[in-house]
Amino acid sequence: MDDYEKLIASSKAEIANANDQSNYQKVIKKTIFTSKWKLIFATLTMILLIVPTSFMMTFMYYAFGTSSTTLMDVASETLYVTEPNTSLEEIEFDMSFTPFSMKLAFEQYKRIGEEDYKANTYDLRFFLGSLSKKEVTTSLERIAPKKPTETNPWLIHPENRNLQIDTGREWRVLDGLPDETVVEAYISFFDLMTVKEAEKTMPNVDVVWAAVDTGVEKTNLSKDGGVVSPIGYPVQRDNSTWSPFRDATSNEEVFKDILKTMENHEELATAISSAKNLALPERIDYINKFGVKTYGVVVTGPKKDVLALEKMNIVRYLKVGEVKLWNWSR
Amino acid sequence: MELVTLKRFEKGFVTAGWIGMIGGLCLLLLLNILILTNIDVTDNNFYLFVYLTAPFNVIAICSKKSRSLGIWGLSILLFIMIFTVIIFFLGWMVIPFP
Repeated sequence: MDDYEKLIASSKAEIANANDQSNYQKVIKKTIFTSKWKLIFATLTMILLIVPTSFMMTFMYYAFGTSSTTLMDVASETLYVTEPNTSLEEIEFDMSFTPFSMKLAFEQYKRIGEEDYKANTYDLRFFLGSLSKKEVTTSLERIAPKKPTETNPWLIHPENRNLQIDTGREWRVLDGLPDETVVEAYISFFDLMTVKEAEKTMPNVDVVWAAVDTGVEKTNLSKDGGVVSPIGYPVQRDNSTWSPFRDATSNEEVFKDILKTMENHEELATAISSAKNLALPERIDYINKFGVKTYGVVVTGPKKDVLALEKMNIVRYLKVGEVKLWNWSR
Repeated sequence: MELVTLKRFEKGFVTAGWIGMIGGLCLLLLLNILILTNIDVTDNNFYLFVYLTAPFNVIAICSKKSRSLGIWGLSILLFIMIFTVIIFFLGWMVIPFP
């Protein structure tokens, strides 16, 4: 091979080598590009798996941990016994879930005359088993004090002398209402009596809710010094599908059962109710010892019939609640 | 000649793998949106997209070069299916209303 041929051969080899190099670089670039995108998509996949996985875990928690039905039952039963003259339509409960939380929305009704009227709309948010947010939108015109104190309840124990109600004014307000109205009234008695006795003494009006003497109402303070609010139960038969009092042989027994259920979830029940403090163990002990007696009831009926209660010697105080146009058919 | 045909096929498998995997990711994103906006997963055409994406992943599994992409896409779809079954059955326990 002469020099010329050698030069040609080495140039050819150089060119081939350069081609290989650029191919090699291309392959490297392509591999880096693919790996880069694979890494990006892998990260995206991981991120997008977080919400569905936590949603599944949330469902598992509400199915096998603190069940959603327990939370719903505690919420509804608490309101039945702590909010006078109210009922819920649980079939109308709106239950929805987001990761680690549950939302319960429902409406609460009040019986005024012979009809039920929307009283409040509740929006409860739970973070797993605990209440994280409570929003109540009221449709009522006469609202009970938002912050209960020992002097401002609408139902007053016979031995409670520490009061803020101007009962003379309340009777005058009632007297001034048109005869064509039906009224909800909070009646406090001079003495304790059974719910049946209370019903018998007021035949012309409907006794809808009875406040039960639990030993703390004399001062409205529990043993630990916390303010307590009245608790009681609906007196009338309640046939609505999801009511805890549906088909009950005795509402009194259902009331006692509800208190026991609430005791197991007292923190939650306190957070749901408007009461600051339920003091359930103390009150349950008292009821078991002394039985169920009432010191005040919520009645509803025509204005004239409610006004007639003034002449009865059992009524100590009256507080006028909601008033609606005539819907009484009896 | 045969090598060229095989290479073309391989490109097709890889493309199917990418389509399947990206489709699966889009479904996962849609599932996230449905959960966060409280829309019922079973109430829309969500599963139609699952059935449309699955064949791409199955095709991708057939080639060694695109197998990882195919398995990736199929795993996402499998996760979505398991998610739906679990939520459906737990839904009966968690939501007491008809």
